[in-house]
Amino acid sequence: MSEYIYCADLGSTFTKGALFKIDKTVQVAARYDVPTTRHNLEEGWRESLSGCLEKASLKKADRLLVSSSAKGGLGIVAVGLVKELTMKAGCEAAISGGAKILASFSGSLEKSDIKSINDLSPDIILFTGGTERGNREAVLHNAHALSSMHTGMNIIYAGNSALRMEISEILKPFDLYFAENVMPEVNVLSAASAKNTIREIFLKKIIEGKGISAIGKLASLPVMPTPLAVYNFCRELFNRNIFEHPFLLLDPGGATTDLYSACPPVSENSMVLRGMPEQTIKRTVEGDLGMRFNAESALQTAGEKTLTNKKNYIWTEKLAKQPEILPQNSEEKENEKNIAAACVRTALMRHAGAVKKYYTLNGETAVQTGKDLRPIRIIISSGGYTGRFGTKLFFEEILSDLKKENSGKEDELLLPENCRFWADYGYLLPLLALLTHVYPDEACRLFKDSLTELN
Amino acid sequence: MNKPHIVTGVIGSDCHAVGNKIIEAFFSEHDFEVVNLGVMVSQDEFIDAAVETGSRAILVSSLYGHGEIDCEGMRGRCLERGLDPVLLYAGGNLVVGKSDFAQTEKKFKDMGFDRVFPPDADLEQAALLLKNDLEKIKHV
Repeated sequence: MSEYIYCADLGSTFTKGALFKIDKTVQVAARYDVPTTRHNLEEGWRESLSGCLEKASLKKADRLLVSSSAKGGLGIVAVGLVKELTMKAGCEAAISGGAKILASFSGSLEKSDIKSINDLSPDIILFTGGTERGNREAVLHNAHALSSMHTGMNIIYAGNSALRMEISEILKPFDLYFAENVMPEVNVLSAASAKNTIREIFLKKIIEGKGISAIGKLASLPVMPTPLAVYNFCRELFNRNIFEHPFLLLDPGGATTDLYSACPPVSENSMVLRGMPEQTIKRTVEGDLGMRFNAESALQTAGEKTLTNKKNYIWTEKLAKQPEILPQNSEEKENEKNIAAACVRTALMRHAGAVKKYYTLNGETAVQTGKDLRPIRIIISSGGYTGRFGTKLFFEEILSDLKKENSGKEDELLLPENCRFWADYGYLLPLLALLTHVYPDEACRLFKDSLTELN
Repeated sequence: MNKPHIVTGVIGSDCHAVGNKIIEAFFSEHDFEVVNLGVMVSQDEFIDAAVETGSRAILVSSLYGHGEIDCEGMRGRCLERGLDPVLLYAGGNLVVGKSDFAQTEKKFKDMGFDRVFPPDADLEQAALLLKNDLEKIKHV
């Protein structure tokens, strides 16, 4: 007998739902997407569920799986000590845990920083600082500074563990959680424990605030932040070598542009590596690049590289008011393409590491910072413009433009070369990312089969 | 008792790695928690690591003769970053050619380094000096 699993992603722009039929193989039995009902997320979810069931002529599904990036997703403020060390480690842990960094602070927190944190009112504050048995004074100073925040904040302390007793005393009025140090030694990232704690808080407290606790009660597995589900999915795809090559996954959404790369972070042994080691599965999320809410800032960031013109801005104004509209005529499609190009190019530049050449007594030495994306051979676009209308030419132009700008630069970006481009036209990514928690092999296989190569 | 953290590495565009490994091994065996940043380390990376680990000493090596340019302004940068007090030691072939060591020592002390070591320095002696110096600044 077949099993039917309904997966839903409560998104920021659309609530996406699919009913999967599982017997010997896995198939999509029905799809039903609705604009997210922001006033009541459950309404849209129920509509998508019943729409799917009706299409498949079923009364109910065997299991319900849910992920959510609704209501701005999971917003975290990262507080670290040194910008390039514990603050960076905290940001990496939060981002790979499915969160969006609302702001990050390093050094000694000042009153103005506390005001900013209060104004941002993040879901979680990830407080780090000090390696194991490392810095005490500055971390304690920051704890005292944080203690003057509005109460009711969720704080994770993932810094120097020797200070836990002092920290729990200083931050008593808050909902305080402890995780292992995100940077136990200089340039060693240890994100797992902080990620688990983020997930624990998401389940226990944040879901309720976002108005999805009722849906959560009906779900067969705990509700996940969508980016965490996708991050885990990338790991499953990479570990199974589904694409036979390292790959990059692009998801330019309405409010943010997400990039996931799956490849070993270093491809040349001769490079001298500086900075924190990169992760094989790396996620970046760009809060200022989006196809809807941040379309204007995406264009501005990319500047003249994306044919910014007046018409683009008329379109972005429209989008900000009515995010669910889709381009109708050729002009609007062109505007949409320019926004997508702006998102993709800037996100790629920020995701990629760089190499700088130094001339030393031993000859030329190459120093690498960040992740080397040159081994990437497959670029998969999912969601937004790139998933629907992206062409091979669209991506090739972006890559070749970047390559041209990059050549001869002192800091040369380590960007993908010689890639094939695949599109997830059906936007199955977040839904299969959920299914992978139950049927990993099948979900990975179906994802590959559902992609279309762009020619 | 906790071992004191110290930060070490080779500064600038210098990739001499052997001496750096010896320093790491030696000071680790002499009851220091060594944070070794390896070769081609910038001033900021030394300071970052010292802040994060709560180190009160930075041991800068330089073998390729450009140590003076690379180390210039380091004391000021430490103060700027709130890393005070901190011991700054420098050692190796700090300047080009075979100049008088006393001159080199003076140059580096003028730049705010606490101790300066020639290429043939005795590490046992250096470790002793470091322990004493750390003890002195402990209660500052």
